[in-house]
Amino acid sequence: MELKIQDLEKRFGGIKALKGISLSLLGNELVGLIGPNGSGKTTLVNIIGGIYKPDSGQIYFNGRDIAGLKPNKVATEGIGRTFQVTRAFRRMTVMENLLVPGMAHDPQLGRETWQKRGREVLDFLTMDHLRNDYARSLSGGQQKLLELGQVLMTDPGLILLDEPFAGVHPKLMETIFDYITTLHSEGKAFIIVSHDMDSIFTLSERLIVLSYGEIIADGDPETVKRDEIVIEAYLGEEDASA
Amino acid sequence: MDYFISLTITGVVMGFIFALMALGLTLIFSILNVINFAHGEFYMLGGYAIFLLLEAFSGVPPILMVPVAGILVAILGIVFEIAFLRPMHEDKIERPAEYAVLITFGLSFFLLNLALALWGPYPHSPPPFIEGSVKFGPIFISADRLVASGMSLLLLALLLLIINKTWLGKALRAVSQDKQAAAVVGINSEVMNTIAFALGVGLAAVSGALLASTFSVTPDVGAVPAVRSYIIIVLGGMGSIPGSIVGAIIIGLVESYGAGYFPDPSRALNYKMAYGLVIFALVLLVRPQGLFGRKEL
Amino acid sequence: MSKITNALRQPIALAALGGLVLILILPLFVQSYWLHVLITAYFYAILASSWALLAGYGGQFSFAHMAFMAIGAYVGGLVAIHLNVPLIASILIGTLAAGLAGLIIGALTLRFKATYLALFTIAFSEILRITIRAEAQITRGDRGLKLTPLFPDSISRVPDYYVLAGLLILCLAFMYWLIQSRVGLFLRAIREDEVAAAARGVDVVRYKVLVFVLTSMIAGIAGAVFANYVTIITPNIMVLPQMGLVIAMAIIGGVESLIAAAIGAILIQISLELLREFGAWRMVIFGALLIVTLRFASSGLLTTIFNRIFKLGPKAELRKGTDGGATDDGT
Repeated sequence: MELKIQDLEKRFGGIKALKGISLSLLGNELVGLIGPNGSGKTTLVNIIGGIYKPDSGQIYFNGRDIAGLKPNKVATEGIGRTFQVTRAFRRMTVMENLLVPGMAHDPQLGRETWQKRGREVLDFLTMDHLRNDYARSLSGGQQKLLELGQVLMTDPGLILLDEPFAGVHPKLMETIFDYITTLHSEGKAFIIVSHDMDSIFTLSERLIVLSYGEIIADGDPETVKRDEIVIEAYLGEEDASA
Repeated sequence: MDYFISLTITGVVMGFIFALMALGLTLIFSILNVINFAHGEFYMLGGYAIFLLLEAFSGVPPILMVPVAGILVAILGIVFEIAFLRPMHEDKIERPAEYAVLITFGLSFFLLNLALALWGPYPHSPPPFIEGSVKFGPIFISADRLVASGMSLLLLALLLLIINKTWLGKALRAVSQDKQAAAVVGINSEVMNTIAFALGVGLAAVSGALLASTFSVTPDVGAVPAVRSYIIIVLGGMGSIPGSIVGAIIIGLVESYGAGYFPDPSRALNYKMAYGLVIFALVLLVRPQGLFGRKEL
Repeated sequence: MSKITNALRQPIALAALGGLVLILILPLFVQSYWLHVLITAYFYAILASSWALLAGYGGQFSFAHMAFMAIGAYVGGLVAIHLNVPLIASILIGTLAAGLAGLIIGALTLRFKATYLALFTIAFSEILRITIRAEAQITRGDRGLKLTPLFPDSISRVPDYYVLAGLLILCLAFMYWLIQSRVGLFLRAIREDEVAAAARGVDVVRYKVLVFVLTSMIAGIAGAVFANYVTIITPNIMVLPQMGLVIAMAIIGGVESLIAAAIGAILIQISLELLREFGAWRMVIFGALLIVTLRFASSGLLTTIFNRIFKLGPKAELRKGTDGGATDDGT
């Protein structure tokens, strides 16, 4: 797995959301993406995921140019993503929610094959007993896991998680934590956007800090935590909200 | 008088009349975020209302019955809004955007057929406001139409006054900009919704009442004005009051020039609506926010 | 739980089979006048169910459906008259023309949300109607375009009946096959959440346009065939109240269920006949029914009644809790 981003820029109207972002991921890195509100974290994820087209810059995933590809094509390339506010298919069953990414990825394999795969994924998430339930009858936490399950169906090399811990109660947070760790040890790379400092510091091997659309720090959590520029960026946010 | 100038005058005269109904539609969109697909039927009801009022009170000068017709129809609007639109904003409806389209379209279907059942398909004509017509070059404009246009202008001015200078107008503007902020300062957006809807359909009804003697009233008399109103507010910008006025004048002119200059006079009238519709389709495709409006798909 | 759903499936399958047999043997008992009513009912059933597929299932509430039907009718009729194309070929050409129009409109309206889609498709429909009316030299306008009957040598309506009945069954079968396939799965995902569907790999553009093209072709073939049954068409076949009637049928029947929409259409058409003495009040009743259904039984009157009797559907799941339940099989 290799992700190479070079000089990525994006503006919305008059505001430059991303100014010359460059970063590389190689192998199964577990990267935390943090930064004050409005620093461009979700924009970056949305650009990688294909929802926005960058104004300039390149994105290469496993050697292929994915900048400006539509979201469904990005998914095919092997990048999965979850959303800050869970977007499961509410009036479809859990199994159907899992069939969608599978059948979209490779319809030739057939529904039965993908159903089997779906049950594997559900087993992993200990949600198999819910497979015939409608997604909307699931609790918020279960829906978050369902979204993760959808991503796992096609075995992506890189997983983008947008605020996976937001509004999640501690027990479930532990569970998600464990899943991420397990998947990571199985070879998957992660970019995790989060405001939850404790979790992200514990979980990540590498921390990238965004501020006003630029990367102000990129390194191991301990070093980044103590970086003056990073502290200032967050304190600045505190001042503004105080 | 120059043919062009006569056409221009006709266009502007009609434009003011169109503006009143379009303003009603844009007001409803601005406050409730809903396109009232039954707008034409409220226009139609205004026509029947004034006809029935003048039959019942035959001595009264027709012009005085216009606001009465408007108020009566507005009351119907209040009932509908409370029963069928309010639930949308109380989170009782699953897919509110589609629901809004369908329920107002359903209302349109219902009202059209109700009118057909109650009053039959044949035209009803209330007595005119004034007899006679005025000559503008080679073109005659009936006095009635001029009265309608004049009244429309008056009402437009009145409305602009209300919206810009009164507390009600301020409240409406507040809700159209930011419902939650308005709620914080104590403006009840549910009540504003109802008022806006009543006002909006009332304006359509007044339009219908003003033109009842010119065009006669049939159950489907509102169909063309409705489509015209959609065109105007999309062109002007959905939710924009100046937009609906400017848009109305433009469409009035387009229809006038279109009918006046079409090479084949026998088909000219047939295509009158087509010009506006084509503009409409183009605006939706190329610049959906119209001339003045907010950009919202 | 699955044992119960299997058992429940039996009555539904039996009912469907029963319905099929009923449709096929009706001409034996029914007079010519009622055959006409049924033929018209089947025509509306095709339109209502295909609109339900586009709108209820695919989430695209278009008002251009009757326009596509009219394109099928007029293009088919005009090539038959002016180019001497034989009947079946003219029907196919009409169908393809409708499909082409569907492709264009579907592609143009990809990003349109509900309100804008409604406005645009209304505009398209009206422009088409005005043009057909205005170009009376070609289309005969309000006087009507005369077409050759489906069976010129037959005085009985029975052959026409079987053609329309067959067309209805064929269209329903095709649309059901579509729904059970991955197309149906993706359409539902798109309807639920377009952004999420794309993120999960669904080619949203392709499937949105596909459902538009397919349903417009179904409307087109219904138009072309029915036109040759009634043998005369005017632009009034596509006035907005007609679109309203089809929408009412689909919604009252059940906008997310093809068979409910079809049955809704047939029942409404039959009711309209039976209630003839009520005159214009018939439509008033259906208008009221439409509004009330939208407000209180949005998945359709028939569907709601059916679900209550058999305790199926998403709401039943919520009432029961999460102890498993019937799977959503698209009906």
